Amino acid sequence: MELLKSVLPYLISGVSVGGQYALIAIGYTMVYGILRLINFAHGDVFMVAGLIMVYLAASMPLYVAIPLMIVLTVALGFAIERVAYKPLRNAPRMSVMISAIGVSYLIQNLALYITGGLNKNYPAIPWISDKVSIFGMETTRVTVITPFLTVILVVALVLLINHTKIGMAMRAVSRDFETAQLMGVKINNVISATFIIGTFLAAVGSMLYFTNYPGVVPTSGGMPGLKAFVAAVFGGIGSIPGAVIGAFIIGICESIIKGLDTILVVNGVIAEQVGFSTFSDAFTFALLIVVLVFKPTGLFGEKTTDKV
Amino acid sequence: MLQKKNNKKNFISLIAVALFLVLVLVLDQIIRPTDKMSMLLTVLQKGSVYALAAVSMNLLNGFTGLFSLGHAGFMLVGAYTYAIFTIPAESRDTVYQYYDAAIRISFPEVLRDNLGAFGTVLGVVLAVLLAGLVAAFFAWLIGLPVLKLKSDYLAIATLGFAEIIRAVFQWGKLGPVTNGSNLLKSFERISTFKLTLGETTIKLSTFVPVLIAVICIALIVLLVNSTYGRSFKAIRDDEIAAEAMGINLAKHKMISFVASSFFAGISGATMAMVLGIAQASNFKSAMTYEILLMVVLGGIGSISGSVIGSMLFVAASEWWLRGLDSGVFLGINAPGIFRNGFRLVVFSVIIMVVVLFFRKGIMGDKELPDLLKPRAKKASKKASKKEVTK
Amino acid sequence: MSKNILKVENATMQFGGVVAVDNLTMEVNEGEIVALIGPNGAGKTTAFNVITGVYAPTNGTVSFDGEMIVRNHPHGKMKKMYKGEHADMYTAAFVAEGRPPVEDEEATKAWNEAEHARDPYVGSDKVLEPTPDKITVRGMARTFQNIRLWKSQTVFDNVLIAKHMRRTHGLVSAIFRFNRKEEKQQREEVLELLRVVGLEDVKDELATSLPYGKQRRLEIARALATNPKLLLLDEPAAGMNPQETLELTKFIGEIRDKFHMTILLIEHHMDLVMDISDRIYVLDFGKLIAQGVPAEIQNNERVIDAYLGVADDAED
Repeated sequence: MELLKSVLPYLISGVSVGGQYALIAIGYTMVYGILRLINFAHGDVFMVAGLIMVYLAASMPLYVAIPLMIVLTVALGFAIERVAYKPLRNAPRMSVMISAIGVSYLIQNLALYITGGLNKNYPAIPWISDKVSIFGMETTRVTVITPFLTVILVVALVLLINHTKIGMAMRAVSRDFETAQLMGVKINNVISATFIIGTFLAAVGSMLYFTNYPGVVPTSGGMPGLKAFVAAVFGGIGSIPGAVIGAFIIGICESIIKGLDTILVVNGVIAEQVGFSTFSDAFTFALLIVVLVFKPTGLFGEKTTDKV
Repeated sequence: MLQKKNNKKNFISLIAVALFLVLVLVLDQIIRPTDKMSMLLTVLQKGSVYALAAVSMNLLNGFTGLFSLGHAGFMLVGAYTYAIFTIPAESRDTVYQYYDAAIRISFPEVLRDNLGAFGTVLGVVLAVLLAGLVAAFFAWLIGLPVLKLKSDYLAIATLGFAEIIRAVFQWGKLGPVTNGSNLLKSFERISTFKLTLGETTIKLSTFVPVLIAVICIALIVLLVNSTYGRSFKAIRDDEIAAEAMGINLAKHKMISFVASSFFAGISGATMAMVLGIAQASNFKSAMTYEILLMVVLGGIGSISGSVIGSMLFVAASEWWLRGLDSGVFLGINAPGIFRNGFRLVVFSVIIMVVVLFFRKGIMGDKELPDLLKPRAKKASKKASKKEVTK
Repeated sequence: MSKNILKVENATMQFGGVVAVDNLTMEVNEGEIVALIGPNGAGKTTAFNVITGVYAPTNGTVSFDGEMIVRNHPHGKMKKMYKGEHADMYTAAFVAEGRPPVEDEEATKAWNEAEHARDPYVGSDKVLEPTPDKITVRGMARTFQNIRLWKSQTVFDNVLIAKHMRRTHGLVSAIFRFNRKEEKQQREEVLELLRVVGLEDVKDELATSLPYGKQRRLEIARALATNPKLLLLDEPAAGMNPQETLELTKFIGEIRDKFHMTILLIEHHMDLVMDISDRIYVLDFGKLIAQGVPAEIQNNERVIDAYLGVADDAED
């Protein structure tokens, strides 16, 4: 009972963080599924969504700011694809990846310039940042609703992919880029749609994520971005349910490792703190490497073989 | 005949490098820290650190075609190894404020006591070598599982390992060795590098990092042009064909990865001695990205390109574009626009332009000596015809 | 009879539920040119990939130059899924038929010896699955159906790189050029080889700038540079017109004569195959359906059926 009580807060926050990662991870996994590109700039777009919200909320009511923030973020995602990735459609994969890294570098520097490197306080969004109490512990409402919202959005997305024309086109393109193109699928539209969906979810995710954090800095996007990518790999890159499950697992593990010292001390397993929390980020990458080495296709990924 | 042509080319390059080193040594003496031109020395110092880092990354990414993003991690290992083994006994307790220092040996100090000034130099050299070796050892450990992975998976796995290394070095439990999340300082740094000959003192603070970079880059050039280097290129061009022609993929990828990390470690050590501090939190993936962008700027697959790219990168960001951050640039006074951070924005835009529109970078996959090529090629053709008739 | 150089026994390659090569047994003797033919998708290239180590076969063995180099039996996931024959032949559980009674010591001894000659690892689960480079080092070199030259390298370097595996110097000695002599010798050998195959005048050009026919030649030269005992050519005449095919036929003949080379080739151009092959193996749907000298194959009913197609009920 003591164990449960000490683990519970970390578990709940882990589920919540996992949900936020999941919303970012979908952007990674969809883009990778179609373009075979690790969109390194995705985490930075997520950070920009946070910054846009900070600036908008200062000058207009939230019910205008939130939709406008989402629209602007989506526009940014769309623009990045058109400017930085589309010209490289026939270039080697390495070039596109370098372009993605360049975009990430540009966005971070731009954010640094605009904010002056200062921490920007994220606006409190009424209702979702209210305090609530579950299982006798205090937390914010956003922590509780994140996993549900995530699941709802993911179900909607899966329905979209399985039952609409654009969804079918996406599946076709991710299966075979060239053939889909030959069959008359408008590749560029499909890719744009993918980026739009991905950035939309990242924008929603940023709202949930930053509400729980003190503020936004230009590097805020890096870590959550990388972790979401790891989640996508863990779940099997290209698979949406995989990315979501991977994100929840990573969120929970990371949160528990953050609290592992406290949990172990409270339960008398160890006498003093050993500093496990240093490894909360490293753990994610260790998990990534284990997955890549033993099951490179992830939990739900499909195997491909090189032809000789 | 092929040998002869190469010999001539090598000879010219050798002379050029020697002249450059002499020039650096002279500049080191005549430019005072207060001069405006002292920025040139800073650029040369930092530039040689990054040049070596970029060239070693190019060895892996450009020549072997292994897209690795773990460079900052290996530089961190190098910087720490160098710092830890050159902290003199007297400063040790101030540096390791919160811990009981575990490694109580400073190479330069020990050797100085026995060999005098020469001992200091030898100690620094040993510490630098050790930095490379430790980084290479880490690379070997990491390479065992990850080198099997393909392109972007390898990139993300090495990136992950670099983050793990950073976390490990910041771990409180390793404090007695790494000083936890605190920085390492007071170790041997370039400003103390001097040579005293009787009355005159020769300053070496720019010469040493440049020399280290020159030697290491020369070694990489030798490696790339050796039979092993050719096999790396074969692996890059077509892995399956390379394996079918008897090239052991695992072994050669490992050689390239370990060699690249060895030199990354040395570049990290050089960075520590230039900056005078070593702190794990500086070696983030952003550093790897910057180095990658230098490589791209110079041209993937060109060593001289990487050197030029990183020198330009450092010169632009440390020197030429400074004005963009401080209000006045090219005589235009616009403090509203030219304020902190604008330099980096301009800079990243330039890089994006290169990435998108000049994908080959400055040098493509050519080297500086190749610019003399058209003539050399004709000569070699003639020579080869002669050989046939013989 | 000349010495046997390559022997494939009971090789089966199954991908998931698809049997690409089914119980293939074949051999190549020293000095022969042997062709492996069959309709598209018959499993020829897969057989090649099994022989050269690109794939480890699901079951079966490959012996080269008197030594077993590849040996496998269905294991892991494949154990249940395996559809081929001889599932336990290369496992510890295997007992060959016709074993003489234990009392007859002499017969038992002879039988044991024969079994070991057939399979030196008989009665064990031994798995041999070397990577392709290990097999090339043993003296088997190949070309590819869709030319795989090193694009950024010159013709000369393409061939020179293939010499890398015959090096005797280590990394350090290569960096500091202690291998100068060896390097010089290798360069001379490469030049000589390029002269023999008629590519000397283009040696400084980029490999990919050559016309198609010469790229094929270069690939063969590159394979020869590894000093193989057996040369494997995967559709060397693919995409060539009759004139080029004729030249290639001549070229392959020359290689055999000049280098005393043994050659195993996959080919669709029947003129070429019938012209230069000593023996022919015919694959269809992964199974060996015929083997023999060209004249026999030309008149073989099953081969003609396989190529021309035949109504299902007519198949035996």
